[in-house]
Amino acid sequence: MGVILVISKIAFKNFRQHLAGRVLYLVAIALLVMISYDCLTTFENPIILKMNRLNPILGLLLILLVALLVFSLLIIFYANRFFVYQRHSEFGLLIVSGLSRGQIAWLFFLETLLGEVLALLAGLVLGMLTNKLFAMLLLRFMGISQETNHWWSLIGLRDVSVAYLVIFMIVGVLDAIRIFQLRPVRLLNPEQSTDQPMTAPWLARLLAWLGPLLVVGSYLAIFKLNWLEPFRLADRASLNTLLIFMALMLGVWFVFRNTLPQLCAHLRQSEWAYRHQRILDLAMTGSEFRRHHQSLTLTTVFVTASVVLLGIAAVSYADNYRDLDEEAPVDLAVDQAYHDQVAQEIRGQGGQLERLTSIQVKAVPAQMRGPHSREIMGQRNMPVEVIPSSAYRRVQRHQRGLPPLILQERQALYISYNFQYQKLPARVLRQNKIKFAQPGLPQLAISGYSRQYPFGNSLFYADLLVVPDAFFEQLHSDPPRRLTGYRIKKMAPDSAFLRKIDHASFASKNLRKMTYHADPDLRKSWLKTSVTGQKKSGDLITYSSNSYSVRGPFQVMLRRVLGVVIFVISLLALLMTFAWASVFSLRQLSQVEQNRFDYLTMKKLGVAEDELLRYSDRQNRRIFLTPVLFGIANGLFIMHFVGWHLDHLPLKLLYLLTLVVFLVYWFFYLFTAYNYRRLLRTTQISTQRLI
Amino acid sequence: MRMAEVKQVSKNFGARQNLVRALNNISFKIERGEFVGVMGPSGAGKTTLLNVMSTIDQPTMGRVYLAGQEITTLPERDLAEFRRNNIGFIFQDFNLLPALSVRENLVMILSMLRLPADQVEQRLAYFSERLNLAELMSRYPNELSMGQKQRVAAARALMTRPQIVFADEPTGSLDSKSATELLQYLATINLEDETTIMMVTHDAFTASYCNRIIFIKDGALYSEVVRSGSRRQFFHQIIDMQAAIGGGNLSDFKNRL
Ligand SMILES: Nc1ncnc2c1ncn2[C@@H]1O[C@H](COP(=O)(O)OP(=O)(O)O)[C@@H](O)[C@H]1O
Ligand SMILES: [Mg+2]
Repeated sequence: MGVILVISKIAFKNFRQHLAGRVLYLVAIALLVMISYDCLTTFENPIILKMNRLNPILGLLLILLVALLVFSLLIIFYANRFFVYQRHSEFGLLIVSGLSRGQIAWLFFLETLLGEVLALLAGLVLGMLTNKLFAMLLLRFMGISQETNHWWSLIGLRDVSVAYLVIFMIVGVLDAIRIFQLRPVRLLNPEQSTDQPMTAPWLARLLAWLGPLLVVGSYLAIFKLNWLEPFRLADRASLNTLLIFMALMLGVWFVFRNTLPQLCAHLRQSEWAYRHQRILDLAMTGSEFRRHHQSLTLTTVFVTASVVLLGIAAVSYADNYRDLDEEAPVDLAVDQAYHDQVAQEIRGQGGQLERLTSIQVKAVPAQMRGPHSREIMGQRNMPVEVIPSSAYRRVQRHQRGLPPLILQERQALYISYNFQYQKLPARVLRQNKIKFAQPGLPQLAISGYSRQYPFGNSLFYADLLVVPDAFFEQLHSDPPRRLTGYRIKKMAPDSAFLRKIDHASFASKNLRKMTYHADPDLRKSWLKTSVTGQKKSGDLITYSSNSYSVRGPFQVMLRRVLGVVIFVISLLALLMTFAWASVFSLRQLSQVEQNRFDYLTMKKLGVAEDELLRYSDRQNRRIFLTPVLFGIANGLFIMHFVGWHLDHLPLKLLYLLTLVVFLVYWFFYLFTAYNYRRLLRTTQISTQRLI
Repeated sequence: MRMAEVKQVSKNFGARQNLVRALNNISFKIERGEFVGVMGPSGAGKTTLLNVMSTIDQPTMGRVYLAGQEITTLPERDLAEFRRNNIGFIFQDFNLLPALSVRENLVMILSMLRLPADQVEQRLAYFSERLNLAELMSRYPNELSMGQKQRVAAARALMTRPQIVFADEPTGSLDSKSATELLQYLATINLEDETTIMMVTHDAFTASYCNRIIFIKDGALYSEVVRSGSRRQFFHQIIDMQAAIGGGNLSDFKNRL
């Protein structure tokens, strides 16, 4: 009993002694706790619970929660690992003076627990304070502007506390295992445990080359990967992805562990290093890289992950909005067959319609001729819908996403939503020509390809051609269809009524159908539009499309889910950045104690103090920013690649967010460098013998 | 010619009730080419004296001249350069940089002195032969034995061809064989290169390699012994003086001589 009391007292003293140096780390944990609590209370927020289509939103929040907990476990574990490392000699002394390892483990557990519980409490208080802000932000991101006042959640408090206490226990047990494995000999003679290269030179050289090779190799492999396949665990493709990422990380690991130290070693033997007095500089940097290759790799991984996460947020934002624009670019587009009915219903509910423009559409059999034409069309010949260029230009005035149109005589613009999936270069696509079944018509050259349908793709069967007006006049078809676009006013886009119309537009009875007879001979192919279904037979293909489409409800739903996705991902990435940077800075500062001795030696050798401080700054900058820049490069590379496959997405948002990540690390670098200098300065030469 | 002069130097640590007078108005001189030992009981102020003389610490009062320059008034920036150019250090705990190989430890400071590469090679060859370092050049400090480390530290101190070498208990952590070797190296270099050496020690055997011993007690000069006859004779003189001061150890002089 007495022993436990003594140990608790020592633990408390140790805790107080280390508190100042660990403040930022504890703040990071408190922030993680805070967001976890905020996240949990959302599950009880009445406004969110009232919403329909709830599952994806709560599911995403659950993912955020789990990710936060896992990440907390990881950084607490990692921080404790080097807290133990930092105190090796102290523990060695304690072992020699007769404390059992159990007692030391207990002592260490108690003193770390004090800090962690402090962070937990602070986090819960912060959570209650920021809870409203969190909910408001979440709702804003979802596009809802409503007051929320829910901040107290007993279940939230309980669950977060329990979860974090479990994490503390797990880490405590792992620490105890680590402490039980300590060898007093190595603890008291740290010289024996320093990690100088002991590998054979040829092996060292091999490993040094392995790093960059793996990195470049996995970069190349990323290029080969088909990113548009959805990720499934059982899937070969996602297994490959996993392998590529493992290879990339292994490569990064070798780069920090072998390549950079070897490079430094190589450079410092050069004439250049001698002349520019870089020997020491390079040696210190090299050994720092080597000594900390694990945390440098982890930093790279976390930065890469942050950038990719932010990238996914930015991409899904941009991509989904583009999808929305492709699918329903105007508030309402309607076929003349349904025109009066829909318009009347909307007006009946108090909505107002502003007519934008109408276009005529003809449907005819056609065939593509030229290189890879079968791949592009997917079949020998097919029905295409055709609109005149003047109609396209009229719609362009109201639909900003439509690309510009430049048509010469005997040219057509080819519109299809399948182009996303085709990796044929535009040059090859443009070598194809369109031949029509109707005799006497010239073939049309293709001037360009586009994914953007006027009035949205849901109103067309399949592919659409924009042709010169004169050519359009010559086409015979069943009575051409007439599509009209409207802007809806005085009606909430998410109103229950519009949602009903949206639902109805997908109902089978409201779909427009067409049967197509694809004969090997284009001239014998024919198509027939009818509202009623037709008997199926071997060479008959049926097509269908919406007869009308509304933008509002779809947009709102998309916006909500997207809002949560972006909110969750950005929050996670930024928290991860902050928490990890704080741990990294802590680790770097714990280094001062070890490096102090070297700095004093250099001072005795006649290196001036400001020069030493410049050394330390430069070293800190390298240690901090190398993995960050490396990680950002990885992340941007991956995202660029994804973006490139997704039709050159605008990545401006991603650049902005990446900049934020970089600035967080830069802030921590400045903080670390400042404190490092301060700690070094307080070391006087004459005290060296007393250390 | 005078290499070092200490004029009425005092050094206090702490303040008020914790005040320690480590050095108390001490004065003496060292001529060029001397090999001076500083002895005295533990806590007498030997290390403090060495630190004050070697620009590592500032005296509370008094002046110190090294190589004809008053170092007590030099600003930190100039001190660094002065150290680099004029002083070599050998310490009990070696002070080698663990990140650098032996060769780099030796070369690093020469690069700061901007010594041309061919001269660096020349000096490396000279000292590696002198101090028997040829096989150690590409090793790292943690791969060396104590004696080897101290030889490297000595070589590093001498590589810059300093005017004066300060050594604080250089044999403190060595076994007697490596200690004797190191002392012989130092004595040779002192003789052949006329390098002035000031060495703090509490061990009479080590001290017997010097030409002159300064005894201090309670931070003040106690007495001085100059070598005149054989080393054996000198050794006995030192032992006698240690006995007079009190606190010396007489344990093992028989079997080591
Ligand atoms: N940095 C310091 N702060 C306080 N007291 C010191 C310091 N350095 C030395 N002293 C004190 O000064 C006296 C002389 O110390 P030192 O020169 O180390 O003796 P030694 O002769 O054993 O080398 C001792 O009493 C020691 O406690
Ligand atoms: Mg001493």
